Amino acid sequence: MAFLLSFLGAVWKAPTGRFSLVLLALFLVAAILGPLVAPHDPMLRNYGPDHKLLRLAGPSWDHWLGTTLMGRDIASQMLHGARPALLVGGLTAFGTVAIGMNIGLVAGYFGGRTDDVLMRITDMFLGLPFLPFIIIVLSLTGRSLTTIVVAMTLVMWRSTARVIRAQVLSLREMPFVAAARITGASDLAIVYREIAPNVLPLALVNAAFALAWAIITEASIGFLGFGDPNSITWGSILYDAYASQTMYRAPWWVVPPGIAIMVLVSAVYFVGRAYEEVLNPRLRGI
Amino acid sequence: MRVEVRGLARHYALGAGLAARLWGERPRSLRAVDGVSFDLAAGEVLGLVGESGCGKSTTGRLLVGLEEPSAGSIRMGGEDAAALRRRDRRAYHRGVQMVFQDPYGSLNPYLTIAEIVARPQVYQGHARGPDLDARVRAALEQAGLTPAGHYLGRHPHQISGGQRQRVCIARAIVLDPAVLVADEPISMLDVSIKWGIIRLLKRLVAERSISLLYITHDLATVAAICDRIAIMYLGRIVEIGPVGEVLAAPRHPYTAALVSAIPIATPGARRPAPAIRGAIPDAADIPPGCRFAPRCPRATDVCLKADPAMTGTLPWQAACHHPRPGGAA
Repeated sequence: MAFLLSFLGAVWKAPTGRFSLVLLALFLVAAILGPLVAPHDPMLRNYGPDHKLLRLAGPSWDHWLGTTLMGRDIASQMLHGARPALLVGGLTAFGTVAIGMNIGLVAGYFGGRTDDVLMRITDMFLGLPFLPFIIIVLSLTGRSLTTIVVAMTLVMWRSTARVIRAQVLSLREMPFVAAARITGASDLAIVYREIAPNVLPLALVNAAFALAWAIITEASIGFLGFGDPNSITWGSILYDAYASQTMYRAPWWVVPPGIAIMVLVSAVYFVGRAYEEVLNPRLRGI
Repeated sequence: MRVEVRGLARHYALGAGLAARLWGERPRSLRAVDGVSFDLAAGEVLGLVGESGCGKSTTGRLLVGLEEPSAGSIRMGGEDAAALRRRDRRAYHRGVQMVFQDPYGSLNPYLTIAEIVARPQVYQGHARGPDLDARVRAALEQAGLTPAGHYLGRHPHQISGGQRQRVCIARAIVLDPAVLVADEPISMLDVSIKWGIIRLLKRLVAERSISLLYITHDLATVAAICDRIAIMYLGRIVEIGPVGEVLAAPRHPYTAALVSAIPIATPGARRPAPAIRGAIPDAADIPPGCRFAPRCPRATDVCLKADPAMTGTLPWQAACHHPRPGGAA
């Protein structure tokens, strides 16, 4: 908890970091409250006063961002889409760092045979093509947000593991590790109580980049039509607009999800970047 | 506690290349420590002096159990150290602690001073609580960081180098060890701070009758803290004896060369310097006979063939075929 506060404090110091944190907070509010404050049911087909379906109606007081080809309210769909975006991104980032950090810590600290086995497994995963792997997993196991998270985590932990391992390789030679060993610390205590706090900042930067990447990927999967059919995501909104071949006639349909994805990913990326700058003075351009 | 070291060795296997193996060469080994023997009594300070790469730090690491000996034995209070570690690793470490050379790398940057000094007790299985906190404070104040409360919440980067080394000493003494290894504890500190650390170590040795192995390459400070001194060259002790006598009239030509290199604070003053040629040989390729012979101004044929044994009566011994006459030998 204290660490999270110091993380936020460090990000807050940089102007871009502060701006991004505020943006992220807004997205978080939308994710939590969005479905409650949405003016319409996102799947409801809306009819005009003349009892005709409101196909591709432009933005109006009643429908802030207009309607889809099926007369559904886009603003409400957007508000419903914030939650899966952040949920999928957050869970994937968590899973990625949890697996990658542990593999990296164990491989880097113990070295030798352990390192060889773990790193060859990592190499195997590094050989997997990113999006095709996820799509195949989804088509084999069924399309749901859970399987998307699992599939993305499976192909994303690999780079975190390598980065953390490299850091641990140098940390384990530090005298403070020797000092812990000669006071009777077990290997487990050295790894998780002495070394882990030192790689946690690096892991957090990786988590931020994984979060951004996972949001983009989830949107891509939705856009390609492999998303969870039971939930409304920004990617699936784009897919619907594309499939209905009305992207040029109804820009209000495609622009909002595009911008939302871009702004959210940039905000997450800049948070990671701001923290990285605090960690690494060379990036400060001094 | 009495420490008895006999024939202690640490060899590292060097992998021979494929070509070398095809030529039938045996895999070589680097003999970092190669037959070191000494005693260390309770409340005594033994200075272990030598050039970089002579094996003095490895000797210290063998003592605290960071390395396993390839041969020889270490006895702590009459019991074999390796057996003690096998039986109860924690108890062994409780008794033998170390202060490292680098006060920057030996403190975990993400912990507070309070956590750093508390950790040894936590690793020993002590419950967190007021007792533990009290021992942390006591150790910090013993190490000269008063008032302790001023330092508890700080991180290592917020205090000076000398203060960091005092934190390292507090961490080493919080378990109340009987044996302490100090590996060049002052070499990375400012001159103004060095003497404070030396006085602190001397006081701790006197108050707690700690056996201190003081590893250094700096002969100038050795006399200030050590009772006895052991000169190491290429993995072996070449001369051991009371610090005053050895420095005043060294028997081994290598010791004489080291002593002549101590700076004198008088401008223009020079010591008669015995010629010592070349550089320290590769520890993976130790010359036959006396290890120092290729560089020694007194070397004769016998030096190149026969490895000299330690001669002289305790407490002062040297391993040389042609010891200098200075002492009472």
